[in-house]
Amino acid sequence: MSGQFPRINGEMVKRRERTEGIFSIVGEMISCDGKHLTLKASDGVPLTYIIGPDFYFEQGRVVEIMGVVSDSPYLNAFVSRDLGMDFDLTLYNDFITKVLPKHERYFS
Amino acid sequence: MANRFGTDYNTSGGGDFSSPAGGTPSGDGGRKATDEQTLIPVTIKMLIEASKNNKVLLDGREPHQIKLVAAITTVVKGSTAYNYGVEDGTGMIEVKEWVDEGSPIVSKMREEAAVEHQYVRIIGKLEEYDGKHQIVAHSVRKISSGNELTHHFLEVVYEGEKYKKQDQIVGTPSQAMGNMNFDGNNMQASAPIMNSGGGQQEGLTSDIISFLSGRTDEVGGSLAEFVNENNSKYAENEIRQMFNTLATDGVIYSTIDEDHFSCIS
Repeated sequence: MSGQFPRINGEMVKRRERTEGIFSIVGEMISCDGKHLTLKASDGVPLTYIIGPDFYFEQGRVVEIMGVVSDSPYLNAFVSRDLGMDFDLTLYNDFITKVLPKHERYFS
Repeated sequence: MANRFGTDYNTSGGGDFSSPAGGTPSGDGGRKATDEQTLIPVTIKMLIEASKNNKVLLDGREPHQIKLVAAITTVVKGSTAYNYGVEDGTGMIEVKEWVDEGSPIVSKMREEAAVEHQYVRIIGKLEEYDGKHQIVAHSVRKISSGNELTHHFLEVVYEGEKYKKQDQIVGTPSQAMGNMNFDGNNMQASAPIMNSGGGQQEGLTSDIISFLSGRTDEVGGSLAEFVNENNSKYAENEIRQMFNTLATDGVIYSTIDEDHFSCIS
């Protein structure tokens, strides 16, 4: 069904867990060279995305990236959503690792 | 990907509850009593399930209004209403917000929110129009902080679990009895109901249940009487704490007053 996607962190991406389709990563923007964005995911694991030319980068700002794995070492980014400068990544990571799996009836 | 970052998060989302400009949803049978006018935090998955269940959530709650935090995927701005498509990872649903041009402040907040790929907080009702379920929103506002996303999901779980537990204490015995084994006249817990520390706690639990099981009348057993009979084995505050824990877990319930309890059976 549309609108459904898993919320995962960097470790899950590395393990290719729940990455069959589009997935959500929330993280802090670290660096950008115009073509690649490095994001520190909610668990502190860095991930690199291929981005478009009109991507807005601001170091330290937290975003949600909707993306997929690709054949390259990088992830493909489709959509980014701003979550501001004061986002609590630790709390979010605790939510997706400890709360979501135990209460799936509300989310999946 | 076009995004408008750098937006100011200082403006609060507010709770504007201005009435819709027009249209009364069908099937609304009159104003609910004040204590039935609930506002329940939900996910889109819960709403989709409710739409197939006569607008009742699967756990039995009947939301008068719902609160949702979701990202806007599409916006269509009409002269009388804004129509949004929103998603939150659990599903996608359409939202209609009637336009009331009376207040420039409200109009400004609406415009700030009506941006694709922006997370918003939605307050409204689940309604059916032309055979399709959607949210008719009183308010669609940009979230004041990204943390609203996490807090909302935690609130969804908290309120759902609180409702479920409330139902157990009031007397849905099947779940509370799930952990109990019965061996003739002796009732024993097959596993501790809560995280109790060690054999002492299990012994106290077992003694309390045995004590209350022996009281078959409606009044049940007295906590004070149990304390008197067992003060050589357990400390009073320990006993009182365990009674409280067993009541919270739905194993026992209070009867005529706060001193008398019975086992759920």
